[in-house]
Amino acid sequence: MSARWLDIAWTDLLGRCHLTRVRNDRADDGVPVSIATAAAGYAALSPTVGSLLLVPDRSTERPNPFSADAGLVVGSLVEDDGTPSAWCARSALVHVLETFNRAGYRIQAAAELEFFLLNPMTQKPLWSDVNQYSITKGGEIENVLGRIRRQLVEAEIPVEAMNPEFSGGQVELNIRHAPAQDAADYTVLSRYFAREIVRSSGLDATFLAKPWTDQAGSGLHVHQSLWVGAKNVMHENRNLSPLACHYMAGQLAHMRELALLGSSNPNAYHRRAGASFAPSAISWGIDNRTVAVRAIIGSEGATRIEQRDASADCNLYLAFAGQFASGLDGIRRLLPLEPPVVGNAHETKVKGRLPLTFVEAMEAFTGSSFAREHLGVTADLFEGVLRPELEEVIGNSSDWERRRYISAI
Amino acid sequence: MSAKKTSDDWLMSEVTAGRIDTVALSFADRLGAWRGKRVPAKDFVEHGSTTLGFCDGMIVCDIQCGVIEETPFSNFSTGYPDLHVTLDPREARPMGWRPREAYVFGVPSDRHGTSLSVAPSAVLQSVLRRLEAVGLVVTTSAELSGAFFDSDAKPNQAFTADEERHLPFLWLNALTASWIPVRYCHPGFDPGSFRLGIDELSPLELAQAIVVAKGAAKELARVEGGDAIFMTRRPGGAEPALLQVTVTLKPFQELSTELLECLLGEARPLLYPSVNAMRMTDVPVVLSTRGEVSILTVSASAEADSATVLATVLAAVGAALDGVQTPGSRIDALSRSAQLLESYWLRDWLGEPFLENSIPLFEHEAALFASAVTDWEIERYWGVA
Repeated sequence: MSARWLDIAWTDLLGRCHLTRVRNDRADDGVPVSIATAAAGYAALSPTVGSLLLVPDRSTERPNPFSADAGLVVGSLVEDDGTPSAWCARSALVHVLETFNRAGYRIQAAAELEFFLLNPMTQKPLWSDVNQYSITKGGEIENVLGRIRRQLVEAEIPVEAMNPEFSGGQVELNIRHAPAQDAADYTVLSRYFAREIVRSSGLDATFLAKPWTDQAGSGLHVHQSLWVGAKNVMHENRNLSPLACHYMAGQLAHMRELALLGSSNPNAYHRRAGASFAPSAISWGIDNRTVAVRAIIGSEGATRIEQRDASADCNLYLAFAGQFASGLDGIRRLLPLEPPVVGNAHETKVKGRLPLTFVEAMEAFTGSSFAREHLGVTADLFEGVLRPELEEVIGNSSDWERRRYISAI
Repeated sequence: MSAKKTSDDWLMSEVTAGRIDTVALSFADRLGAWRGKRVPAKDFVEHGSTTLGFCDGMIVCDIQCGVIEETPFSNFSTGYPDLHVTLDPREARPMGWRPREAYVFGVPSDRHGTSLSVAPSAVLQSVLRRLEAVGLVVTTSAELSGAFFDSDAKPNQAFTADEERHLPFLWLNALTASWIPVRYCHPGFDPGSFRLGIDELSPLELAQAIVVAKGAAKELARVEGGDAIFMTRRPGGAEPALLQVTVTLKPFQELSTELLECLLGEARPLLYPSVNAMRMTDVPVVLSTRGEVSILTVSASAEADSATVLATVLAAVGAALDGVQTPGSRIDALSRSAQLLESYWLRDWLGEPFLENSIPLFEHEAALFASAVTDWEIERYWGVA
């Protein structure tokens, strides 16, 4: 017997996940959602009036470990006539994947999400020393991380692993690879429920890209491989196939103009400062963690690329969509791939650099016809939601500036 | 490792019965810290032998997980590629203090499956192979000492009270339930201190058992708000925290205590890997004979990586049996660790990559200490000088 209620997980244009509970037997009729909410900015509702319909994607229906009385499903936003709404980032990804499928390929993807566990009273990291991969530190917080893993697995989200990450308080969640649409939904659900589980455990969590100057940031690494039938066409003769090279070339060609999709607030650009594990150069390399696209060459099944630029707090659907569309463009135009960076990409001379600030990224995105071509009106709406941030970041004096200059000048 | 042998399908049956749901896929880093990822047990047993990738900087990192640019194996210039650890469900053991968890260790390798020459466990395997090739059968046991502290930073007084929930007893039970053949745990001389005896195991199993024992001690203590301390020298003249390894060689070998002490004196940073640990002035060696076997006991720092200690001690045995005659000079300070490369026998037995990637970390620690103004200096000279 199906549950009485249905929890529909959906995201606004900034990528924040919301949960709407609706009567299961009425869910397919759609639930009204105001555009003011779906297009809310970081600090205020959108001034746009009107409403959309939230509809469940029944193919994503899964057990709900968080409620005995409700099913769990991912939803999309549609217009009154049932057509996908331009306010719906998930639909933008669906559109890109349909294009991909028409080209004869399907994408397998997997995400790695980093986030910080916080003391809710101080809002500081739960611990201060570095414990990357520490089984002992992991044991100390297993009451939380174990709960996250178990409940996500109960929700049929294929969690692969969890471990403490490099910075104090930071952890990583790995999700097993899956068809790209599923992978995006898994990641959205994981980010939402991980935070909820942490909070219900008496702690707090943040996916903010760079909460502290002196700590590493939190990234979203997206592993991707291309398949035709049962064959991974990124792999050829124990190496990367020419197709994989074109795919990477496409990602690199559009990385600068689409950087905003993966780093959608001013804070995210601090990840790129200095030598870090976040890329600054538009570059690729073989098993190199300093580049933007890391190629991992293994068995046929395991050969893949890892896009390392996006931040953990981005709109996951749009970040995925931008990366996949770029890759497909590289395949279609047979874009040539530069030689790989060997060594430290931060110090290597490369053709291009990623935007170092939100202002640069906004400029690049505003001028991107590629973004409009592949994301449609969603690209304009996304830019519009972010425009107040541009005005804020330009207009605001920061505590850093006061500390550094106020008595010196 | 153990009191109770692993069976090929132990993990599978535990997972099927719902008694185990998580496995810690593990390796030990250069300093003996327990690293890895926790994964759903069901996936692990269904998938069978699994190879996981980890940032390779973690095999040569310092005590704060920092990677020193001077370590040639991994730094920003190498791009921090993956190291690989292959883990076999048949090697899994229960994590005795976590009822629903198991753990399994692997030896770090490159992407072609070749053991990493910078990984202590791989170096230990290499040393053992050489000893076995000349017909030696090696078994090892150990005594690990340290101290438990309570949340108020005072020594844990566990042994003075009749309380089964006191830390040392919880620890003892946890290790036994993890199939580690613990022989004893008794109080040391100072409040809070303990000595844990582990019975005979193969060297690699013992190395892993010590990693687990230290990790379990810390976790159990921290859950109570305290800590387990393995720092070698503590304030107030407390007895040092040591890892005393006993090596049994069969058949009997003619060895010289003096020669072994000289050889291990050349290797001191590997046995005493911090500024604090190098305050210990000797590498005590005791040789004895029991029937047809030779027994060698060596004291290293409890901070030291157990695989490194065992590899170094066994390498010294191998070098002595090789007939090495001209020991080099003893290393008295961590800042002089570059001398490790001057020892022919260390280069020969442990390999130059292992030494070349250890030395920058020792020198880095020494340089950090040299540039630090200590509490002691402030207390002694502030206002007087």
